Amino acid sequence: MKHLNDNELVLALDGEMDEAELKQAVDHMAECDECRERWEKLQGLSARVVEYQASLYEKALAMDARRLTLVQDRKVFAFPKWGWGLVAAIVLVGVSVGVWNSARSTDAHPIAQNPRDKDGAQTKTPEVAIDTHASEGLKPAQNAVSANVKAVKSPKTHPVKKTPGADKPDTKLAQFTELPFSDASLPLDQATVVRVTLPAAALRQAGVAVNEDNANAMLKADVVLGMDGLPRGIRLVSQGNSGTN
Amino acid sequence: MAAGDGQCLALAGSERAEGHRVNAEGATPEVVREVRELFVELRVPLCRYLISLGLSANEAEDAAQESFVRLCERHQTPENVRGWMFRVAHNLARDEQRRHKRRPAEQLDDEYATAEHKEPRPTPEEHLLEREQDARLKAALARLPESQRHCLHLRAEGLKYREIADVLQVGISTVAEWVQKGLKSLERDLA
Repeated sequence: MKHLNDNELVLALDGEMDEAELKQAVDHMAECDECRERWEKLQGLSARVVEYQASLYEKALAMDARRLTLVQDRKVFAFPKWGWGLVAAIVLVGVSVGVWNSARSTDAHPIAQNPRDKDGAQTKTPEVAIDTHASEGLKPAQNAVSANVKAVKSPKTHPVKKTPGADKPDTKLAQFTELPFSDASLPLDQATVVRVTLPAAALRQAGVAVNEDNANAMLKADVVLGMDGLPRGIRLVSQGNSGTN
Repeated sequence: MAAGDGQCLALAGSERAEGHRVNAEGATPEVVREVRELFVELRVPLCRYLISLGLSANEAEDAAQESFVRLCERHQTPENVRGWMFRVAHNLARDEQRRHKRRPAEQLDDEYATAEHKEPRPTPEEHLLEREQDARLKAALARLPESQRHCLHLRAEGLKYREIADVLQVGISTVAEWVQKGLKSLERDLA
């Protein structure tokens, strides 16, 4: 009996024989354990190559999926290229708005700059008027009166009305003097004015000019409070003696 | 695969698929249908073969897509279409490898082994045995001459000798010889 050689076995395994040759080979293997065993070995080896190749495909897919995940994860934390432009634009807009607001608040600040600020030179105090209608005639330490701060440019400034029994204010509305410890950069929207009675010495310390005659007197003064409750400016209501000393 | 109206093919399955509608104007509906059927039949085998040559899954998918695009551009299917498709894909893979100095396909296993692969295995012993057998087969395949290795990879995808001969541009008897020698070498190495 002639055994099948490797070439014939592989050709039979791969279906590359013609029908007659294949039938002959199959018939032989049915009777020959040695050739059948050899055939089965080659068949198993071929199957392993097929499996290995399929596993390579699965591994490659898994690797690509993993790479994709890593890339996506990186993308989550990566700053987009256009992001820097956006940040720059936001910063630019923010700075512009800040500068504009600052300039605006400086222009509109109702409190006169302290004349002593600049090398002792007497600077002209910005002219402001404060509507004191509501505060007029109110007793000290009792009232927190809303003040509408207006630029003097507006012709509608309101003179202080005289109230019977109240101290006579100066004929000219006294101007507020910025308190030395106040922050001029803070906004003064919706400020309130509180009338208080203070010793002349305290007013002097605050930068308010007090006549020598009233050096030991208690004087009435209006204090401007910002909406944060902090005092910004002060003015003397009257040089007259408002109380006992 | 998604198909458009009339004479258009849209090859799905890769990142290039979107927006890559193949205009097959001039091709008969029979040809279009044939290409679609071929796509379903050959896409995965083509990718498997390309990966065995060293391409990544995405690159293999793209090369397979490109092969189908070229088939559509012919407006008629070649006589030995499977062989033709594998030959085009084979050449695309070689071009890709030349361009990028591609690593050998066998490195994929090492890379994969270091990755967090959590595919469930029945037991650690089986996992170990499987990995050992794969490693030995991988080493044995790597030792084969390129021609024999390509023959075995194409054969593993079910190609007939005639088709393998078409891909590798050699005679059928040469393919038979390479397959036989390749199997014999593997058998000897794995014994």
